[in-house]
Amino acid sequence: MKALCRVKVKNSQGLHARPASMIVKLLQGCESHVSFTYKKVTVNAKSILSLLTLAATKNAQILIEAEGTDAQEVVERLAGAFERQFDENS
Amino acid sequence: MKEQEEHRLQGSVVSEGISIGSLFVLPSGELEEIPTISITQEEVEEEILRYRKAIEASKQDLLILKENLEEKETQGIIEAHLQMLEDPLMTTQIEKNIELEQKNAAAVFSSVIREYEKKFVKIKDLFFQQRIVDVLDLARRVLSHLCEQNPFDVTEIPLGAIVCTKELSPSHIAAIQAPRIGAIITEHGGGSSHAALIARAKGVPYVSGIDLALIDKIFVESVIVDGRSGEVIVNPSLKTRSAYKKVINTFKAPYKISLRDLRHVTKTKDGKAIHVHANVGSLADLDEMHVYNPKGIGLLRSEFLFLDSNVVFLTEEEQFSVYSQVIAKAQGLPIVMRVFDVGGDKQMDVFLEKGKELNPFLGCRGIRFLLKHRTVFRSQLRAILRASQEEEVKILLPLVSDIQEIQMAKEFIQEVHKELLEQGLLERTTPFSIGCMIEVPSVVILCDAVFQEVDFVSIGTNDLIQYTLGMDRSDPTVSEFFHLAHPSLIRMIRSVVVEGQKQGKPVAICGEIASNPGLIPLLLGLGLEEFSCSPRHIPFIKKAIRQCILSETIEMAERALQMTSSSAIEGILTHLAGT
Repeated sequence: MKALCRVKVKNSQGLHARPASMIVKLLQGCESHVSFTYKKVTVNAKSILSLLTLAATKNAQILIEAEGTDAQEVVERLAGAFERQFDENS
Repeated sequence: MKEQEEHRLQGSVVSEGISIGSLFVLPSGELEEIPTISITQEEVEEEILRYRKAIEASKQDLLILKENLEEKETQGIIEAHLQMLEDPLMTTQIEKNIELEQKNAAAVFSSVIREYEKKFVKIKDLFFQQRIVDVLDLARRVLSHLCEQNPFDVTEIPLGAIVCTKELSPSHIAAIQAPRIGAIITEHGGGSSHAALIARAKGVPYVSGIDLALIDKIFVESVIVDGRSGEVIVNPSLKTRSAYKKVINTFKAPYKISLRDLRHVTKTKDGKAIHVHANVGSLADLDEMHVYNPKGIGLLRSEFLFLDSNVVFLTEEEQFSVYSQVIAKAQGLPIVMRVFDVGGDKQMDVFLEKGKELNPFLGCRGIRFLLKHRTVFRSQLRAILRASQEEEVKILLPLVSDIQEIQMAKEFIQEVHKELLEQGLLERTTPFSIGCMIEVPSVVILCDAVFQEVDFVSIGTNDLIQYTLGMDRSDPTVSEFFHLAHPSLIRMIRSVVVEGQKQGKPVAICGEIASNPGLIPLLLGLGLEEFSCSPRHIPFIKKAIRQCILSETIEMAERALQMTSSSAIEGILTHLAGT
């Protein structure tokens, strides 16, 4: 199955190493293929190096797309993480 | 045989001396210099295995760091690095490319990294653009493991060779320790880098700022490195060679005379006893120094002891073993041990990782670094205290800029001392003597408060000059004397000495200024009684002290303190030398 969702980056420092690291951790063991699209660039969300090249700053709008058996669940978890600002206190 | 054409290149002097020899180029292991080697279909599998091993070794390094560095921020960064090592770009992508391109892993890896780097150059946000530093860091680590499998052997360097490389990395510095090096030429680095300090201490001529691309184009038969003018002469003509040979001979003569004049007690002509200690950075230094009869070890640069260490994280036990050897080799002489002066841009974080610092954002140096990374500080202190027991070992704090740093460090040292007493690892209850480096203007200005907190101080003029003048010492357009005899420095030294006398606390001087016999009269006149310099310079310093009449030097210093220009001060020194 496919699932998608649009999220906004709320962290003041954007999607830097720590949030990227958390995303990759979150996606560990997830079956679906997940991609993030920002400013017409689409990357594999399981690749931390690729996430970093997005250079998504604060207020960036990202399109999350997942395809696989756990697509819906994974999209929901990711949306939650973005919403919680990846537990950063800033 | 046709003589090659002579080429003269101008660089800047990092370490004095003159050497003639053949050129030896050190491989630098930098990304740009990885050679591309074609491999056969059969070799592909083995090459992929080698790559996986390098990734695994890098992971192990990071796991060790993770275990030993408690700070939350650092933990997060190490996590990210570990994930990068598992990133499909670093794993399956590279393995695929090795198979497709049939090239060596190092070349495939570095080209993928460089492609990746290109993407970052386009990013406008500076914060994000800086993230590439992390990736390059990691890349260097992986490459060093890949290259370890073909390690560079220091004994490959021919005796008396002129070693040439882009920049001296910590692993190269081990090569300098070897007595076989004739001279060093680099493109970058110098000034107050570790390599520079070691080269000067060993008397190895070193010239930096040479465009290696120019040398690359020449068929080099021999090279002269002129550590006075900063010239590198490639394929010197017969005339040039004989001129230099004469100079080299005159250099050597005075040294033999001073060696005869080595007595234990050093007094000025009018009977004032002055103490000359040794600056030490290796176990070999400790062996060598005894012949010069130093009063003690005035500065042990502890981080230098581990420069060529191959471990990822220095444990307490390893340090304990080395410090025990230090104390044994000191043969009862008092030791001033400066705790690790690392961090920031000082490329010496072998206990964080080989090569560059883990994260530039953690860039803080000296005592601040240690106070921030308490695991590192604790393990070093424990090792020092345990190794010292009842011996006269004093602890010196590096790059102190604020009174609070001293207070926090003292508290921590007391805590560690107490811990060791409770664990039965230490019997001595008397506290260890604690001192601090005076190398930042703030503590010069605040020295009255500093002396309240410490038992002694050591003036480190190398850094003090740079921070005070806001100027890089390796600037070739400025003469050495401009810095060393700068009126601001002279006045700062005097104010620290006066305050030390007022509060009854010893003031030592250990920067390179203390290795310069020409400045001894001035330093004596300013009231300094404790000097520390590299062992090789001790006989010259002792000789210079013995030739001084203290009352005259005091008079001269009083005049110098009124002056406002380096050249004026240099003038009275030269005048004194001439009389």
